[in-house]
Formats: sequence, structure tokens, C-alpha cells
Amino acid sequence: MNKMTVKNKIGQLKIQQMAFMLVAVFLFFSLVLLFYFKISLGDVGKTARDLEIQKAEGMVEKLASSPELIFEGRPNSIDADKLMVLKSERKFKELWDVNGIIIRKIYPPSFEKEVECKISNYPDCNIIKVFTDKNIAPVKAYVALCRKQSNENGVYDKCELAVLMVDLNEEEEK
Amino acid sequence: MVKLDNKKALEMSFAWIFAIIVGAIIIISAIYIAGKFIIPGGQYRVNTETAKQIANAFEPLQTSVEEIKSDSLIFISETKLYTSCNLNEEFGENRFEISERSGFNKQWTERGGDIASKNYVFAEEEIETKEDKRVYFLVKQFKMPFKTADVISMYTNKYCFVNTPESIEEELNALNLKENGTNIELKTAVSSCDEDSVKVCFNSQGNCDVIVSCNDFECNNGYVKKGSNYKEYFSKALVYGAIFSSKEDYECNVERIMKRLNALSELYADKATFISGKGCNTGLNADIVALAQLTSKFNIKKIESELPVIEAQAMTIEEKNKPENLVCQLF
Repeated sequence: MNKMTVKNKIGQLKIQQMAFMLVAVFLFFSLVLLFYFKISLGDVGKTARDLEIQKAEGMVEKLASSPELIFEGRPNSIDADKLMVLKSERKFKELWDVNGIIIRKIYPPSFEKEVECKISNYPDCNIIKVFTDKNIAPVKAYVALCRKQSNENGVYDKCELAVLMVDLNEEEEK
Repeated sequence: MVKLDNKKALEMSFAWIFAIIVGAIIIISAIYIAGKFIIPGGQYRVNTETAKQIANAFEPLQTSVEEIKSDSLIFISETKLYTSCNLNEEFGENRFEISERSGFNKQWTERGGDIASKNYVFAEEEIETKEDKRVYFLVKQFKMPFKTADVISMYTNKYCFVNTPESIEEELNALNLKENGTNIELKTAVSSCDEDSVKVCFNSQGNCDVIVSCNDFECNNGYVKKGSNYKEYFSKALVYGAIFSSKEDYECNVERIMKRLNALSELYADKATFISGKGCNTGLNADIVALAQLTSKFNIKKIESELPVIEAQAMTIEEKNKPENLVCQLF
């Protein structure tokens, strides 16, 4: 009789022990799950940003050969004259879905300071800002910046080395 | 000989083993259920991301020196692509949705969010990847008279072009059809085409899915007929768009291209004025303004009568802008 009581008590203890273990393991894995959710949700924002950067990188390539910017069908050449006209055409901002475009002349070096191109000083300037006031943007590519130039011999095409930068849409950047 | 002093094995009670197994089952089920139903997105998120990646892939597809190019995308699983087109805002847009076969029973998942693209993608409203799990792109520059847009044809079916005009055959052959994997084959008779291919016949009837009737030897313009009622007028690069797209998508994208041509004409008119002040007088201003006016009034329902007029005006400008006729070229 005594022996049976002891055995029952040991059995009860084992069941209790197992129940505690189950609860503990469940809690542990719940924490793992919460951690997984956090990582997973944080990843959504990162994925969105990565996709936007991927888009911007493709956009730089696209812009360099887009009909609005290309200089007389020459690959990787941007028409500075068209850019000056484009500055006031807000509808193209919607077409490219960017916040702005920045083109900075880098060679031959012309000015020590930054001189923004305006109708009044063009072409004696070194940075063209389209739809933006920023001076720099993260995604860039090197291009030839070409324009019509005239001298005593007539009109000719003048090209300089420049860097084309794309300013991403601000809301999406955040 | 090495003797082990401690011969004790790891002792684990039944409760521990049971708890670990049950716990593992619980957590795996929880992750599966969460992934499927609870985590915002789940498959919806995956499909949206894929659609966004496809929209991004269009950006570097633009042509520059080349008139035509091809490319393809390979998917991990079987995929359905839904394409739509609208004329919203200034230039309109294409929108894409994705659905993938996923899960243990390989069911089609719910479509992801629709992603917009400003490119001109000509496709059927719903396309499904085949055994190769690829989506093919054929990109042709649309010039009228300056580069206006890239006509991107998107398809998954195998296409068989029969009796192809020399000009089209030459440009497709230049793409190196087999190596580039365009999924287009050129044949002289419908009987030589693969059974499962879409048969596109140029200037001929017969057992064809698509019939292209060219108005001239180079097939610069003409009609594309699909089924019994669908007949579309095309010009230049639009022939590919008309072959690979649905009626709605074709008409919407052509309208979008005309809007772009209108904006570009205005831009070139402004440029002509701007550079004339620098001693570069093109004398093209009036012609470009006329082109802008024609495109601003473009009506897709009158494409057969209006597109040839726009084309004629574009050809006039192109002729005047040639280096032998103009010292200071506009484009």
C-alpha cells in the first residue's frame, strides 16, 4: 500500500515537471517568434529602401539615354541646353518619379566655387539643378554634358565631363 | 590504450525529450501560420516585392545607340503577371501585379500590390510563365522624328514569325535570336512552327493566331489582326507592340506615347528658341510647333487617319534636320 502511494507521488511529480517544461519551452519559442517578427517587420522597411536604391541606379542609366536629356542621340551624353529649358517644366518630374536631378561639371575645372546655372549666367556655371535645391545626391553616374557653342568660326558642339546625380523621392527615402 | 574515466552518458528524461519535440512542433506551426496569415504581407509582400523588381528591371532596358534589344527575366517559381495601363496624370502609366504558385499544394497565391511604371510596356493583360519560367522583353526605339519612347514588348509564349518582311527579319536576326533567348523563331511556313507557339503571319492568311498586313515593303505601317474583331493600325516600332499586347493595352500605350511626343515637341520648340539666341538658328520652330499641335489633338479612335499625318510631319522635320540641310542640328 505504502509502496503504491510513493509510486503515484513520483508519477504526479513527473507530470508536473513535464507540464512546467512544456510551458517553459513554449515561452522560450514564443520569445523566438517575437524576435522573428521584429526582424521580419524591420526587414520590410529595408527591402523597400533597397528596392528604391535599385530603382534609382536603373534610373541614372535610364536618364542618361532618355529622350528629354540625350544630346543628339549620342549615348551617355546629356544636352545642357535642354536641361536649362527643362528646369521650369515640372511635368517631367512626374515622368521620372524623382525628387530632382543634379548635374555637376567636373572637367575641365571651371570655377573654384559652386556656381548654379541660371538663364542669366549660362553657360558660365558648373552645376545644373533640376527640380531640387540639393547639391548632391547618393546615386550617380559619369556623363558627357554637351551644348551648342558658337565662336568666330560658327556653331559647334562642346562637351565636358560631368556627374549626373539622382535625388530620390524624399517620402520613400525615409 | 586510453581509458575513459568518466563513462557517464548525457541523461535526458522523457519529459525533456517530449517537451522539446512538442515545442518544436508548436513553433514550426506558429511560424508557418504567422508567415501565411499573420505577418503583414506574407505572400502578398513577396508578390509586391517581385512586381517592384520587375518595374525596376524596365529602367535599364532603355535603348541608347541600339535601335532594338532583347532581354529576359527568370523567376524562381511559376508566375502570373497582370498588366494594366491608364492615362492618369500627365503621361499615364502601366501597372503590374504578380501572383506566384506557392505552398505545399502549389496554389496560385493572392496578387501582390500593383506597382506603377512610367515605361511603355506592351503585353497581354495576363501572362503566365511557361516551363522555362522566363519573361521575355523585346525593346524597340520609337522615333518620330526624334527618340520619343522605348516600346517594350513583354511576353512568355513562344512566337513563330512566318513570312517575315526583310527589314524586320534583319533586325530580329541582329539580336541573335537563339543566343539571346528571345523565344521568337522565324519560319517560312506555318507548318514549320512549333505546335505550342503563337503563329504570327506577315501578309498571309492561313492557320495563324496573328495576321500582320503591311502597307509597304519595309512594313513601316499597316494593320495587326488578332481573332475576328481585333484590328489595329500600327506605325514603325508599334508593330511589335501590336503583336504582343492586348487591344486595351495597345491603345492606351499609343495614347501615352503621343502625350510624350507632345511634351517632347514642346521641349524641342523651347530648345530651338533657346539656342537661336546662341547663334544656332535651326528654322525648325514652326514645324515642331505644328507637330506639338497635331499630337495634342491625337485621338486613338482616329489612329488610322491621325497617325499617318503625325508621321508625315515628323518626316518633314527629320529631312530638314539632316546635316546636309542644317548646319546647327536640333536633335
